[in-house]
Parts: sequence; C-alpha cells; structure tokens
Amino acid sequence: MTNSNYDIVIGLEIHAELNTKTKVFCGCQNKFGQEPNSNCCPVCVGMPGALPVLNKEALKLAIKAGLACDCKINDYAVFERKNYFYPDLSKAYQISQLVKPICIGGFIELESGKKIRLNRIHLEEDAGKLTHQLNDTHIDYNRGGVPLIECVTEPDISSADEALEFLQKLRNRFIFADIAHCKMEQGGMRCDVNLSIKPKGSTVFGTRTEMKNLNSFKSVAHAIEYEAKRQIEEIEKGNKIIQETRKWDDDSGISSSMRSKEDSQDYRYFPDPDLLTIEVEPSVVESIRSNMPLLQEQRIQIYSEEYNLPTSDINILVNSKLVSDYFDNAVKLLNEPKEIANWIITELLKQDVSEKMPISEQKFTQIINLSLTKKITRSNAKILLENIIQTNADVMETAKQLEMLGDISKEDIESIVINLISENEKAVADYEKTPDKVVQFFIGNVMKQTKGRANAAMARDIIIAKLQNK
Amino acid sequence: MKIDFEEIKRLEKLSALSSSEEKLKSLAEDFNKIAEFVEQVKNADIEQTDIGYQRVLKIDELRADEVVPSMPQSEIVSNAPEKEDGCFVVPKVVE
Ligand SMILES: [Zn+2]
Repeated sequence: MTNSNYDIVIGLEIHAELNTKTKVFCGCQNKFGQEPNSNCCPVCVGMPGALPVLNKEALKLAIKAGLACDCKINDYAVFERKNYFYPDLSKAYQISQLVKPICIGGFIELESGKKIRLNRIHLEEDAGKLTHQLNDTHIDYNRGGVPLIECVTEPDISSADEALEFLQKLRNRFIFADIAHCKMEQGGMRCDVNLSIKPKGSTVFGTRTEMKNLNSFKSVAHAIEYEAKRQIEEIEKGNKIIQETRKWDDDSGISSSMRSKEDSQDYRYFPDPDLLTIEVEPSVVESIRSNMPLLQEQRIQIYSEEYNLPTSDINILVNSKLVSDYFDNAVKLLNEPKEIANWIITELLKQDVSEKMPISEQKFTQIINLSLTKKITRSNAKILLENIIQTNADVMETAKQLEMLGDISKEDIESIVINLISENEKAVADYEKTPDKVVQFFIGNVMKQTKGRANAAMARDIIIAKLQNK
Repeated sequence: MKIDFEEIKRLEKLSALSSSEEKLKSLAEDFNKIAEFVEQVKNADIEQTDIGYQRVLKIDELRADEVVPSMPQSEIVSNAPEKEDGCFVVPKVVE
C-alpha cells in the first residue's frame, strides 16, 4: 500500500441481520424503520423474569449462512451470555455463542484463487439503537433482539482491495441465498476490521488494533488504508503499536482511540441457563442444503455455459437478486433465455427495479411469446408491454383492444393497396424515378392502416405488382 | 468460592457503578454469605434423581417464526424514569 517493506494483516468481523419475520428470542416483529420501541415486549427490553425462546428460522438461516460459506455445521448449538454494561443492551448481557458456534471453518475464494478462511459464524442478538442528543441519550429497542450472525475471518486478508472483494462476495452469498438483506445504510450489515503490520515475509504478527463503526464498503477501504499507514509511520518512528479499539470517523477520514486493551471489557461468558442445548440433526442440515437457492457464482455459470449469454448481459442480470430471480422464473415459463435477457435489459431495466419488477413473469413472457410466434410484431409487443406495465391488465384482452391481433389476409392488403394507389397520384408518378422510396412509402402506409399486423414482405410484393401494372 | 475486595472493585468498574469503599467492603461480605449459602447445593445427594440431566431440544421443537403482537409503546416505556418521543432517556453515554 504505502510501504512495500511491510505486510498488512487483516481479519474481519462481519455482522448481518437475518431475514426473519420475528426477533431471535421473542415474537416481536423484525422490521426496520418503525416507531421507537413499538416492536418490543418484556423479553426484548430485558424485563426481569422474561424468558427467551429461540426462533427456529433464525437458527436455520445461520446454518444456511454456514452452508453458503462451506463451513462445517456443529452437532449442537449452545448459547452463552456475554456480559457488558452499555445502555444499548437492556439486559446488560447479550445472548451469543462462544464455545459451540453454529458454524465453524469455511472459506470464500477470491478471483485470484486466494482463499480467505472463516473461523466461525455464530448466532446472537442485535442491540438497541442509541441516539446521542446534546445532553442525554435516547434508546430505541426495536433493533434489540433482532437475529444477527457474526462471521469472523482468519487474518488472511492483506489489502483493502482483498477486503472489499471478500465483503462483496460474502454479501452476495447472503443476499442470493435469502439469508440477509445486507442493507448497509440500515445497519443490516456492519464490519469491524482487525489490522496489524509486520516486516515483509515475517511470520510473527504485529500488535493489532480493532476498528469499529464501519458501515459502508468505502469506509472499510478508507479505514484500512488509513490504519495501515498510521501503524507503519508509528513503527518507522520507533514507537510501539498499542492494542486498542479505534473508532473510524467517516467525515474526517481518521480513526481515534476508543479504549486500550488494559481497561477493555471482561465479558465473563457463561452458558445461558434460560436456553436449552439444541441438537442440530444432519437431516435438517441436509434439507436446508438441498433447498438452497442458487448463489451468484452458480447463476453466472448457468447463464454463461447453458444459456450462452454474453458476459455484459450476465453482469447486468446478476447484479441484483431480484432481477436474477425474475429472469430465472421467466425462463422457466418460456425457454428463451437470450430473448428474455434482451427484453429485461432493454425494456424492464428502464424502470425502477430497486424494490420490485414492474410486471409479473407470466405477463412478461406471454408478451414475448406473442412476438416470437409472430402473432404480433416486435414493435407492437413493446407498445403492449408498456401498456401492461401501466395498467396491469390482461395481455390478450389488451392486445385485442389495441387491434394488434388477427391476421390480415392477402385480399385485405390488396384492397388497402388499391385504395392507397388511387389516393396518392404523386407517389405513383414518382415510381419510375425513385422506386424504392415509393414502395417504402406504400409499405409504411399499409402498416399504419393495419396497425402493424400486415406481413411486410407480402405487402411489398402486392405493392410492386400493382405499381408495375399501372 | 471467595469473593475478595479486588473482585468487587472490578465488578463495580465493569458495571459502570461507583460506590464508597465501605459499601463495597460490606457488599463483599454479603456476596460471600450468599455464595456460602448457595454452596450448600453441592452437599445434596442427587445420585438417584435426574436433576443433572438437561433436556436437549431438536430444531423442529423451536419456536415458529410467527409474529405476535408487541406491547404498546406507551406501556413499554411506562416504567422509565425518563422518556421522550417513545424512547428511554438515559444520561449521555458515548463509547
Ligand atoms: Zn420482543
């Protein structure tokens, strides 16, 4: 990065909120953006005597996350209490996993072929949200008790670029497997960075610092670059690195010390007596594995090898899970992947598809099929599509109303042409001089009168025959 | 189990509380009395019972992911000494 005499050693801790309907230990809604403390009950605000009851789906999603990252799934899941005092934690402890995390090991391979190993993925509960005012602090416990997975990597990452690639891949896996939405701007995914430096090639790790408060990929990259430079400068000056937690400030672009290790927390973990040990039966793990949606990498492979789509189209389709799912569903309805990809990219992605697609797969493929089977012309199909996007009406009904359907017979075309010729004397007179232009003029008019339904080649033959007979 | 004054001092710090030395000393004494009291459990003969057995849950026995109504916001914060806009209000704490 800044100095080639040093190796940078990075490990990441990533938190992701799981896609469940309810919180991890109570039936309150897991939903962002609600009125403060409106999704709360005695369990998730930590009232004395309230008992946590584990959400099945949360545990299954944590297992799914492990399967998406090639982890080994533990035979048993046990929950511990992690004790610390801070007002975002209503019980003064967080229910988490220490001794038997649900997933162990695993890895994600970067494009370079380098494997970034995972140490573990465990299930825990999220804390409430603090808003610091001028003189006091406001607490909203809606987020308290939201199921969270924490993924801890081995210190295998050696640059900001590698960290970003890893995070992007991890995020894509969670999104494509329906594990977590990973909306960083909503705190749905957060990242802590552990970083140390060592002389190039040395096998001895340096003292590491931990950076918290990183809530965008950009700040992860900035924080890594800043911290590596800071540590190298300290070492070059002959100073020692202090093991500490540092807080990254995105606005100023610097990190500052939060607390040093000496007075850091002693979490006094112990098994939570309120929660029983859970046996993770292999049959359950296998059923989660066999119902796993295709990950982004797998979809890229299918689109390329089976459907022969160009790379540029593939990249557009897999850029969003929503679009990719839509494409897959559409191909199931109409086995024309190239055609469908084209229509999605040129027609649907003009619309806002951040939340949902503008038309159902059924109607979309119905329209494409009308065009492919030449029941309507391609340009009419586009008009029909735009119409259905607006009205969401029945496809065949609308096509009929717009007079797009029905064959135009040879006789119909002939009578239209005869009429046109009698009405356009000037054009007929020009035929000798500029035949192509005149024929084109008549074809255009035939199409206009038939709303594009006439067979253009047939019209051309009829027009030429009539003009030459003049 | 012996809880000494140093241990109590450490717990005081971890709990972000502050108390007088005298109070902490008497707390340490109380702690030890409580610990002694609980220690008696060790003497109980449980050989012939199934008290030491902990049931293990299967995944299918866990709670289904179905929303149940939460408490009204006003009720959740009703016992808070200080509240504002539906939030609990506490002295300013910035980590
Ligand atoms: Zn609750």
